[in-house]
Amino acid sequence: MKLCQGRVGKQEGANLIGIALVSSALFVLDIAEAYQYGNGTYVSFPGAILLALVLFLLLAGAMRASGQKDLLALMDFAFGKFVGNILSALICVLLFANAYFLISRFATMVHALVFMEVTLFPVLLWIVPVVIYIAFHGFECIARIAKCFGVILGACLLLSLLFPIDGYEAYRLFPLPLNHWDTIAADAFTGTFATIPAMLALLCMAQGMQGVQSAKKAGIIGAAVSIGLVAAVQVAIGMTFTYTELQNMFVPLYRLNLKLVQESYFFRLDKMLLFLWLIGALIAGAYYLYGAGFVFCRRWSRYDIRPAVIAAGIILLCCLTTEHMGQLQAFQVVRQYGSWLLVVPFTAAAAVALVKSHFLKKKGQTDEKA
Amino acid sequence: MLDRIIRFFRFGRQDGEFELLETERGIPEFWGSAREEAPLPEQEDTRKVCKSLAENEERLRISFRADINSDLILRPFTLGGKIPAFLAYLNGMADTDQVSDFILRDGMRPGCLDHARGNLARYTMENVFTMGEAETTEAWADVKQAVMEGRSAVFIEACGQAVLMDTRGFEHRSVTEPQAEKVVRGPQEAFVENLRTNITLLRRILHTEDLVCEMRGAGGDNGIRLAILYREGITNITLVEEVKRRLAQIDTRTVIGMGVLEQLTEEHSLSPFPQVLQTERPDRSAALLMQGHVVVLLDGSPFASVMPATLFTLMTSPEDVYMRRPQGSIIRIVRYIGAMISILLPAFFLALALYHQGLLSTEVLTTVIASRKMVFAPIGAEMIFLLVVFQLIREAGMRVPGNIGQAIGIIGGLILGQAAVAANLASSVVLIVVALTGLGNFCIPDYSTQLAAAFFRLTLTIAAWIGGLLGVICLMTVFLAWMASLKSYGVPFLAPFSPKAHSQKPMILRGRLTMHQQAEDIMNTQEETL
Repeated sequence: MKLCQGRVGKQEGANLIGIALVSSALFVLDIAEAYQYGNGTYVSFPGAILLALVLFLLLAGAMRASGQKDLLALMDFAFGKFVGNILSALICVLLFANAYFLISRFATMVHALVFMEVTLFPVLLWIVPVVIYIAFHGFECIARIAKCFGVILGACLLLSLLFPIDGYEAYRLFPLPLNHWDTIAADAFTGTFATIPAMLALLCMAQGMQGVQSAKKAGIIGAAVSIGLVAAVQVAIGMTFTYTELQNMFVPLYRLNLKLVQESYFFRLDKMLLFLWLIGALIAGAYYLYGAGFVFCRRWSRYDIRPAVIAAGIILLCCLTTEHMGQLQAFQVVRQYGSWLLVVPFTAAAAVALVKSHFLKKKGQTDEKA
Repeated sequence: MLDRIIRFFRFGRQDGEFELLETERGIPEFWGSAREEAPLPEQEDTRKVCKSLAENEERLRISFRADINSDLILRPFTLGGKIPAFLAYLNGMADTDQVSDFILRDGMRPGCLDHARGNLARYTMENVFTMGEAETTEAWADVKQAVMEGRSAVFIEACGQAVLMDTRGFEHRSVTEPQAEKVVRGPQEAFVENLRTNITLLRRILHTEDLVCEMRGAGGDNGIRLAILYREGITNITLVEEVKRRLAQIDTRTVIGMGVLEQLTEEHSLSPFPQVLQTERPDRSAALLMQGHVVVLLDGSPFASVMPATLFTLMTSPEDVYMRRPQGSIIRIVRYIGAMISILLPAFFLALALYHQGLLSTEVLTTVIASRKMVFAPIGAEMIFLLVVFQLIREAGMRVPGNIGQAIGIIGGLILGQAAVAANLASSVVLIVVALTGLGNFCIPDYSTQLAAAFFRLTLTIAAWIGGLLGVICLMTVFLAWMASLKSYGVPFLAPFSPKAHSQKPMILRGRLTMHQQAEDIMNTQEETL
């Protein structure tokens, strides 16, 4: 079986997780619904990542306790092969859906903000083949590109927040963290559909990460940095625009960057930054696509992962094109129920695995004594 | 049906008409050429040296086509005035003075066989011929190989062995200054075409007893000599074995230079980036050998192949270590900026000028528009045209000798540029961009990497013309993905940056010289690494 996992180090893994989480949290979750009851996204978006991290740690702990090498093995251990297959299919679909959300969002952004004269399809024809190409080269390649761009992207993101600092007003933040905590918590939970798959994929590829411990460390560092970055961006957005403005805003981060160049002698850097974020989206999209292909191949195919990745990429292109034609709404179901589909079964899997391994250990000790 | 179509497209050509394509192998297919199985390699000559002198002479005459080949010298003489013998060597390859003074004169000296007993070939090697490097063999293939290399073989009547002596003395270039890797401070000598001289140049710098030089033959039945140098006990043995394995797989007759050898041994033949470093400097090769790399030298090539090679190795100049640390670091930073400008500037300029004018300030945009006012060609075509012209001037300057080459550079760069702007064939802004690109390109120390940069530059420019910044970013990511997946003899091309290695040595800035006490971590050497 050729899964193109390679050997990925902690730095590469952390960068990859960071890029995937920040891209998903900033560009998949920032739709009008998120700002419906205020701009408390500076808590809810990082909260979504935090919840994903908690689940990740729980699963990693269960894997360690039960001695399973990756998440797919853990699911088999907890629920048996049949339910394990179903949960694998769920991860596969949700990873694919995340790739879809991210690429769809960026294609729309590039189309709406840069190439307004052309249709969406030519934009997709530039983006999707690159995603397929990177995914085709495997996990090692994706993680290494992430390492190359991770720090640059993070630094650019923070720098872009420093320029419009004059326009920041704290009174625009509403609600404050302790007010309306139930709404904020609900938003954070809903957002997990975009943050959990990246973490689960890392656990699925734990062998490529050279073990669960290494994957765990990379995941913690990546998620912690993402929480900081996402919170900083959302605070900046929240202090610049009121939530009523944000409800009608297309890509608030882009609008924030537009502010920095108003009446400035600097060149307009907004589009430059947009294309920098696009690099992050390409890497994250490739990661999700590869992850989906990986889970599929580990479960149901004995052969090369590359045909699976190409096939998934072509399906992705078809889905994106169909959406453009206004005929595809199926992915909205994932947006609505994805969080429940992820949190409940995988928390249960971790719990069952922990209990099972505990009993197995006890039984082993009793047998030893006997 | 297919035959009828092919006949139709022949446009009434008469049967029996002579064509150059009608070779003895028959008429080639309509598309491509007839695929034939590769001929089986010639069977190895397992014959032994014959005891009969006449038989040996006859074999040599047949092997070397002596009837039409006047290069082979077969000189009969009487060994010690007693036993018939003959000497075989290739005219021009062997040093005739050595042959006359130390083989023929010593061999014909009367009484030199007075105390001879046992194996005569061995006795003469030890007691008669006063040659430094000599051996006896009974394998006929070794004899042929030795004669082809310029050594001399002595056959003795009734003796089943031949004495091989190193009399190589063919003409070769003396050690001169490096042509492509000039340095201001540092040794001013480069490799030459003579393998033995090249090994000596390396050994003169490296005084470690663990330096091993393994001699091999490569190139099928041509059997060109090459030397694999590495530090036994330090260099990763898997790397050494991999180098040997790849060299052993070469079964092409035309291994005539290091460039051919490089292509035949590399893993990704379509990669724009080289996967081995080719250097003409012994000091650079020696430094890399000390770091745990493997160096391959080829007879007839004034270059050494160093493997593995990473991006950071290719971007290093030998001069870096000869300078003080701050100077070396600044030069390295400038080099990387130059490389970035060389690859990205035309594409970014084109993308901004064509698609994203909003990113340019009004002043810059006005200048661009004003300079392009009278130019009839689209800016993309103009840019590509000028990039191609730049490559043209570069190639022309390199191919013509010495001062004329420099003159071509000046004529091409200054006069042609001025004339092109005056004739409204090119705009001054685009010309400046291309000139900057050219300067940046020359900052890249390795020639193969310069060519790779030219490839990236041109493709990125085309992508910018078609898709603006979107095209540039997408293609750039593809190139980076390619680089991230590339490996040179098992070492990732972007190491030690991605993947991160244990190395504490800075990648772009020049590190402390004390860091050179140990080998690089990415080499996985058998000693403690940085």
